Amino acid sequence: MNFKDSYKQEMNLLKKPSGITKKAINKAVALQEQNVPDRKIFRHSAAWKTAIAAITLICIIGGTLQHEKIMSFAESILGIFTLSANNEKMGFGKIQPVPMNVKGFITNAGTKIVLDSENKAEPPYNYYQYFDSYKDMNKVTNIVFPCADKVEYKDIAVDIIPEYSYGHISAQIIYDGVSYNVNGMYTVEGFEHESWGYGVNYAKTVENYQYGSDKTARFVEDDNKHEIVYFTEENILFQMSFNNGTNIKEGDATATKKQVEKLLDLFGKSH
Amino acid sequence: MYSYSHAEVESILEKYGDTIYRTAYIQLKSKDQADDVYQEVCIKLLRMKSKIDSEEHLKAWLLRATIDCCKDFWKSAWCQKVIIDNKIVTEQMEEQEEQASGYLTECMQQLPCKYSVVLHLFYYEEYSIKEIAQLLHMKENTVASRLSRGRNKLKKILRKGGKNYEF
Repeated sequence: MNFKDSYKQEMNLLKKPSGITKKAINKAVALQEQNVPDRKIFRHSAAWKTAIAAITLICIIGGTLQHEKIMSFAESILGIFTLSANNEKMGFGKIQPVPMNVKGFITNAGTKIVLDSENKAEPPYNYYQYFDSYKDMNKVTNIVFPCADKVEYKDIAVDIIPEYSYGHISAQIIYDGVSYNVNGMYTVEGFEHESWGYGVNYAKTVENYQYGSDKTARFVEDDNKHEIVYFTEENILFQMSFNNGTNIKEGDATATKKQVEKLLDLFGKSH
Repeated sequence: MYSYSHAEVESILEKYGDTIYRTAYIQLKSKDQADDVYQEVCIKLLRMKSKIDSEEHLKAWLLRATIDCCKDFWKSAWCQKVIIDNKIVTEQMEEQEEQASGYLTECMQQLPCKYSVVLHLFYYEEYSIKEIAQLLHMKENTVASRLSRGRNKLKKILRKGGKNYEF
């Protein structure tokens, strides 16, 4: 048998899905209308990757996937976090870079570099590190978590792409006997990108929850009825999943929506 | 302003859409991800500031853009981290198996991307080593060695499956 002919024959049967061109053009038009810049960092649904990266960090630590196939993409305007759900944009207010010692972080003995599919690392390097306690994490990164004196933070992971001046965190929060899985995005000095944030495609806002004196958390639901809540604290955009009866799986956080609201109220009181 | 109108992009993708899709699929091993790359290439095309004058160059540009997008995908934190997690890798592999289009495609997808892309361009797109080198911005020697190593690796995979092909 001739490989070339057989391969060609097989490949010729592989066709692009019908309607994909129209879908791609519509997406491009939507992006143009939203004036989303064509930056390297946001190439090829990079936002989707970024959002999933944070979720996956939790998976690595907890060995569990919080939400399967959550379609996400990031979007916002110069330091102002926004959440985008089905073209609906919701602001989260201006955020400041975290005063992180990036050089110290990446030269720390415990830091690892994320490898590619061939177990190699290529620029832009993505450095990550795990911490057993909030105290250790704060000491190395200067990142502050909300109400760290009132709740327990466990299994903390922090990653950063110094070239892009942003990173992710993930952690498990224990408060009043309840566990919450949380991940987030932060920036450091030098962050210049015009777009930044989280978002969920094919999703809708279920509820805006007011807490503290002037804070809003957004409860968003995707096609599979999975709910995620977004909020900003300590200059981190947090994303938290909880048990709403449809997205609970073995190993997931046990918190219910009511308990998430209770935690948010606690954060609100500390402002 | 951008050079190509929506109608022009649609017509280009009508002609080269399958080429883009196949090149992405061979590297990414998932139809969902190939869809994603396809859309990204479309956006890049719509955002081009000047038109490409020849069909030959246009096809090469589209292939290059597709390969770049696939590289970006592999570099992404999400993808890298997913690989660390065995549980998710298993899930992904199962998904890939479901999505596989044929035996040879499946075997090609078992190769590292750097080999599969060169083999695909050589055997399917029928580019010469020189053309592949230009397309991938590599030395001809590198392309030739990847082609040779990739071919050997592929032969081993095919033999394991009890198949012998002439190359």
